[in-house]
Amino acid sequence: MPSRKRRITRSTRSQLTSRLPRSIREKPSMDDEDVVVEIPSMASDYRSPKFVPSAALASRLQVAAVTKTIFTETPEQDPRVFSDLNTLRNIIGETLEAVLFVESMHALATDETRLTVAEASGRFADTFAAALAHRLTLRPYDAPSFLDALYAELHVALKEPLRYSWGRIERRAGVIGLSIEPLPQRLERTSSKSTFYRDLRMI
Amino acid sequence: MTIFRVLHLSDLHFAATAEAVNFVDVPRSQLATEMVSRLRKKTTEITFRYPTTYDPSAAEDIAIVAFLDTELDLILISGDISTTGTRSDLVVAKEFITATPARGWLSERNFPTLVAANVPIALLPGNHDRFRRASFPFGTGGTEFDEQFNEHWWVGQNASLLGLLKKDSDWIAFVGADFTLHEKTLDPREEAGRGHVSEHILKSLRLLTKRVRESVQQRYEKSPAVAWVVHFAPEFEGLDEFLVLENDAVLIAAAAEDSVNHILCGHTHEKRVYQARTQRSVTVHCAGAASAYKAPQGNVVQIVEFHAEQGVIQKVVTQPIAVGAPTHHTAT
Repeated sequence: MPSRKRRITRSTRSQLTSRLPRSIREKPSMDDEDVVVEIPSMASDYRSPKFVPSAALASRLQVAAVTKTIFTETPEQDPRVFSDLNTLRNIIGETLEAVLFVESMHALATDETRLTVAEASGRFADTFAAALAHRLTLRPYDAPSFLDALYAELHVALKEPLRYSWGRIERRAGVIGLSIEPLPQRLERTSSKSTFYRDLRMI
Repeated sequence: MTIFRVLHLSDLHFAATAEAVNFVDVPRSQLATEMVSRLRKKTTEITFRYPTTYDPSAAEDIAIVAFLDTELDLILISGDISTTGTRSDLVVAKEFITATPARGWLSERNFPTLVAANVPIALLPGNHDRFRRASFPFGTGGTEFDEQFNEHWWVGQNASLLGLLKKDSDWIAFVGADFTLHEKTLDPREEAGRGHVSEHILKSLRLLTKRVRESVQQRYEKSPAVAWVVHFAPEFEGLDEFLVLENDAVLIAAAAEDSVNHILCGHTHEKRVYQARTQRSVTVHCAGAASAYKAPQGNVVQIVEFHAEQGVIQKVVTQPIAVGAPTHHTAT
């Protein structure tokens, strides 16, 4: 997915800057050793013929879009450079699910099976990837509940329930990706099955 | 020790029209915003005479939860399945409970269905299910519910065995009673939200409990654990007087006397587990609203695990699961 690089006017920059945490506004470091995180651009319109989000989902997408704006329309430079990993981690901590979900939905709606969550390089790259991995649970169905409902909604919209699951987080050469994997049709029951009676005459 | 895993739902409020809201359920401070929002969306389902209905996103989440949970032994619904007891509302509720799944948890009509979970479903009516009309004054004592759900509830306003489960060598029985108001007892000011523990229904509930225990004992030489299921929350502290279960202390006393230590219920739209005020040995497990539109505390279902051994529920573990979109204002 190509990165989006937009020219930012002075007024837009000012507005965006005012939304950013002070630590970021004041630390536009370009040190090569700092972590560089570039989030892939978000598709401009998710209303593909295959997938029309519901009102509830659309409002969440909007949140994610704002998040995405903060990541991509960086006033200081593009791609963004963070010298303060904690700040980065906090931002990610608050918004990662939303960003991830938007990207995942787009990938699913366009029949992709792998998406790039972020590209990281520099001395914090591994730490960043580890933090990212920590925030996502890798087992199917155990993703944060915030994701599950939307994820299910997508599958409903696609009329192909449970075809995919959240997959593995991949780290290759600074690229942090999330694979989307096919699911088994049905999980198997692990405990013994009970017998049900609605009528005493049947026992 | 055997664990019986139950998905407990209450107050689904299915109706012919989804996401309709009665203005009395919206706080005054938010009423203007709500109406403007609906005008913008060109929806007019804000009413003055009709009750607030259901949230389709929550309903679908419930079907997904049931579909994905492979360890469930039973889905138990403790009333207010529909918004009113009219046929047009009940058929929507019935589709959720009985429709054949076509894809995953969806029916051919793309409506969520619990049948996809492939788990037995037990249910009883709540006060909304007995409303005779779709608008005020609602009237109670409706019988359309019995027509629509006759495979699940066929005793009218009475008590019934909802389900008896056997797993490994242990048994658990859920016995339910419908304490909704009879038509004769109507008071126009109180009819909508109240229940009443009538003597003859309580007697049926106790007799049935005794018979279940005796039947299993005679046939298998085992005593089943028993939990009661009602719609109204007995001895629920702080409940509006128009929503109470009249005579509830008698129900609690009977439960204690019959060694029924757990009662499952709903009605309040507030999830709460509490010990009965008059009999501390009786624990009440009140489910929140499952798919009510604009539920004050959001919609929630609960997984209830009964740890049963030799006819006694040794421990109950409940796990709430939030469903549907979060809401921010009040509904009844």
